[in-house]
Amino acid sequence: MIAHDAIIPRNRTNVNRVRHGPSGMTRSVGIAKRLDQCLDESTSLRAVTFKFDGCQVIGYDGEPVAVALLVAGFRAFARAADPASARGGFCFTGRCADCLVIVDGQPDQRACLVPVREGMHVETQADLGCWLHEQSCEDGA
Amino acid sequence: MKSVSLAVIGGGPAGLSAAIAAAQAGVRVTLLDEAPSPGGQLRSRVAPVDRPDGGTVPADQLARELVEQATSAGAKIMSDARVWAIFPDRVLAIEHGERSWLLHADRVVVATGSIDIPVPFPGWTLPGVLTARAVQELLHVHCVLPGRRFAVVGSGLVADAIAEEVLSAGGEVVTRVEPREMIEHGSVEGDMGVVALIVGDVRVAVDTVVIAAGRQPDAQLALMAGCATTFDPEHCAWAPARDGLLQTTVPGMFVAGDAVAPRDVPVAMAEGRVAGLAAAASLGDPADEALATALASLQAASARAGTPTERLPAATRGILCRCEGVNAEAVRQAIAAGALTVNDVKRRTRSGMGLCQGTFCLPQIARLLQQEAGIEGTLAPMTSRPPARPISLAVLAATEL
Repeated sequence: MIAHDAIIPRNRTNVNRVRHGPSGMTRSVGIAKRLDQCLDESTSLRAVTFKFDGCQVIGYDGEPVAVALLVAGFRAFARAADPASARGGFCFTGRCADCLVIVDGQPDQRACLVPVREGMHVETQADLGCWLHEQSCEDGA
Repeated sequence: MKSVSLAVIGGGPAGLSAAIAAAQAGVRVTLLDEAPSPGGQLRSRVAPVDRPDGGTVPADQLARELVEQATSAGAKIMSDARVWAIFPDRVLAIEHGERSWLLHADRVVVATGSIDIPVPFPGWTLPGVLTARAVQELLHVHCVLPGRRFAVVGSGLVADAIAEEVLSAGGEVVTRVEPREMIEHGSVEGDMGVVALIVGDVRVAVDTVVIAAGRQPDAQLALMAGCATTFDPEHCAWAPARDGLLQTTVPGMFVAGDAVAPRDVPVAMAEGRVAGLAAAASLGDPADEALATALASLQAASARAGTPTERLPAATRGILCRCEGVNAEAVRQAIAAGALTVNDVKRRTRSGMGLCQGTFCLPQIARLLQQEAGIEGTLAPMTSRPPARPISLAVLAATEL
């Protein structure tokens, strides 16, 4: 396990070793990846861990939750009004509301805007406030 | 109520230029930007941009320069500040850091920029379908390549540019499809994310689809303020009507840049400068000479800027309203049952009632109205009501008056 304040390399596709997402969640590890070069100096390089539906996910302190989830392989981290319809981020600028999740108990948070913080609890949300609690995580949450 | 001489909404090239011009003319300026840092579209671009006075400059450097000029001229820049409403008499409602308050502005420059033109096709709500701006944000702000095998749905320079950016970040662009073709015959397949793009008999395995069909003005706040709009039937976009000094039909309220017509950065900057100077002039700083120069620069920049994007067909398949999950068939039925305006369609189907407030479905509803109801002329825009951005009831209820 990586220490919370460890400095981790930019290209960290394999850093997160949790392979089994919650039931119904396809984990597509390796589709999205970090780039070695980074133009944004303001992004913190401090790794923090947070929970997504009980699974441990590692992200950079302050980056949007949606970005950390995408890199961790959770593309379909949100649900639409039509409950069968998986969603991820679409516009990544806070405009489309495709990426709504529950953050620390608060529903309807846009994952593309909410910054990742140490110990944060992120949960999948179905529709408007109907919560999904069917997650299971082999690595033990 | 708090007050300010000039409030600028939006921290892109137009908004920053307006703030610089007005602040240098001695006006007390507050610029409100909803992003974590100012720069707007300059934050997520890599291609160098043309300077208004010739030469090119990297986009992020230009953003830094503009921010520096604005702050040293005395403008106050607030990041992460969302204007969630504009009430009569130029009263803005602002949300920032779990707080909400009203701000009266003697003058307002709306520089809310543009958003990607939506291109609906079956499967466009799947994870892995992204707007061009999303891909740029991911690549250049968050340093993440969102996929491996990309399809670009777009045409012209916009599609060239995003394909180039994906390639140079190490992605593979395996196919490129015209938006028109995608709307008429295309679809995207997958269960929990994109696995293939299909056009007719051709199926291409991809994991990411980028929609790069150009930009449309984001006039939501100007509409809410009561500004009269003109409707562009070619592109199904509404833009605030303006006089020669970029003032809308609401006295004291100006609109500049992509929020009226997405062109390029030099035009946005020139418009911002005109709007900032015109606002300053109307507050009693008759800088006629500077304003005349700014207007001449705007004219020159406009003449050089590219032409707008092609006209798209109406989408008749798949989901149109992403927020409420309303499909094209439901909208067609509403029109067949007598709906003649976008507000009518909204009431009958809920399309446009979601959190995005119609941002990504209105152009397509307008296109269906043109096609199915045979409406050729002007279509009224959807009524724009507060809140323009999602805001928690606790924060809203505690709004400082």
